[in-house]
Amino acid sequence: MSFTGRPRCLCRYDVLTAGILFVAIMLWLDLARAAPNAAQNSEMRSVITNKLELLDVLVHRSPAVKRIERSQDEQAKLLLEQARKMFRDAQGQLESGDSEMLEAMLDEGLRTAGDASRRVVDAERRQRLDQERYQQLRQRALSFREALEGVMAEKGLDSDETTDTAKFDASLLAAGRAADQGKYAEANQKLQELTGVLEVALVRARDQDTLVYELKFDSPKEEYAYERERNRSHIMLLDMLRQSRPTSAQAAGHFEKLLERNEILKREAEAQAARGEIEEAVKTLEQGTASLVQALRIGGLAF
Amino acid sequence: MNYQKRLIQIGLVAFALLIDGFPVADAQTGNPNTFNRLMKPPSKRNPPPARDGIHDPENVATESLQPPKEAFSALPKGKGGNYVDWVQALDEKKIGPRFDRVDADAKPIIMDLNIVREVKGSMPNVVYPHKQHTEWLDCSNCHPAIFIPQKGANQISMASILLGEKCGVCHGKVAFPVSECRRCHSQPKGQAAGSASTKATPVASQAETSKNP
Repeated sequence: MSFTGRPRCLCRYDVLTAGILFVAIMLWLDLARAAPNAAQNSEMRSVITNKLELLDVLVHRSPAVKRIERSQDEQAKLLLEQARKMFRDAQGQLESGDSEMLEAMLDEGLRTAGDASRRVVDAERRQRLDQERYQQLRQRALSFREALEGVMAEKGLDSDETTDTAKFDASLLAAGRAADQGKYAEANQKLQELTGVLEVALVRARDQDTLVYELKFDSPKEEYAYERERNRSHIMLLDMLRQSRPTSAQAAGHFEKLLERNEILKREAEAQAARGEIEEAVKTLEQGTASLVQALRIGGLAF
Repeated sequence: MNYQKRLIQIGLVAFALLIDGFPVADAQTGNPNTFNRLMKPPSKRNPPPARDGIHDPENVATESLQPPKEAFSALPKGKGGNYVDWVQALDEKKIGPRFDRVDADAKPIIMDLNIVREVKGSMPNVVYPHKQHTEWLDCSNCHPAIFIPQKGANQISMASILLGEKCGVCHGKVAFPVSECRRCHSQPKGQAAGSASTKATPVASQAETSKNP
């Protein structure tokens, strides 16, 4: 066996290379390990800062604070004071580094501020919300009542205790009277009960039914309007698909051709419709929509 | 010379490794329709509240909200949308709708009614099962504000859904998006209404006229 200087030299370089690679890998591993920790810490800091700011707003500057201070509710005032103290304590502990303790302290402060606020309701706002709710519930009760009447007529069902429309109307009237006197909470309670009864009656009447909405058009004009909307829907779907899913250059080429074909057919259909050839226009537009369906399939939408 | 080449190679590898170790800022892609956020590429779905385009990132309370990915981690996985199989989650009692929120004795009102909508073209007809929806939603979540409970009173089109109306109030936002065509277009043409591919076993059929694309 004979030795020359060259292999020895390469060997030394290999050791050096391996060393550098080792250092690089260690460095990368260290960074990769440190990155999530740093991200987690920064996220935690951000959560705490946000909660602290939120608590600051709730105990010093929110409309609820003014309401509580103006009220005679001593318990609410006490709770507000407690929440303010928790805010000051949390502020004082900011540099302690104990994030979990700080977050728990802030959460407790937020809960206490909420409890204080709930004790002194904004009467004006409450009344406005109750009034809005009354309108919603009344509309709901009326539409359910109408739907139930429709089902009963359709099925030839006789009225019974649970489907007594006279009773429903009496409830509606009673709720209306309460609302007229500004007693929206009472009115809403009555309407809530009524809609509950109506829902149960509808569920019973429709149990295990299947309603088929057939596709029938009263005129070619109506069908043309339908086809135009169908074509528009497909174009919208294509736009979204193109922006959300990457397509190959080849697929994109097909896409463009099919879209172009649709545009030509759409223009042709419009011209036919303008001449009064509505049935032909429908057929032409259907071909256009078919090319859009093909494009959607190429784009990866499974039909 | 070889030695220099190797050093350059090592340097490049180390550089690539280091670069890979740093988080890269997300490039914002154009959003064709903010209503259908579940149609975004998978990596862009379920972002934390401050980056979801819905919550106010400046609001101090936004950061306090639980990120969806964290909330969804214990739920059964779905194949699309927000990657949660909500129906399975409900079946397995992983989620429990609060029917008793106001009244402790309240029971859910579950309606077993299927609505089949015939559609034009090669697409199968649409089957809307009330049962799966009312197992966790209240009638008032949809009626009458979104859907009027009357025959032929609702004009539904794919365009309206894509614009966040009708079914699009939920589908595409929190429920599976419209790109999962077959989940709604589930009844092949010509199939009897009674054999709609849902769990319900209908006994009656009411033909109605509808002109909905």
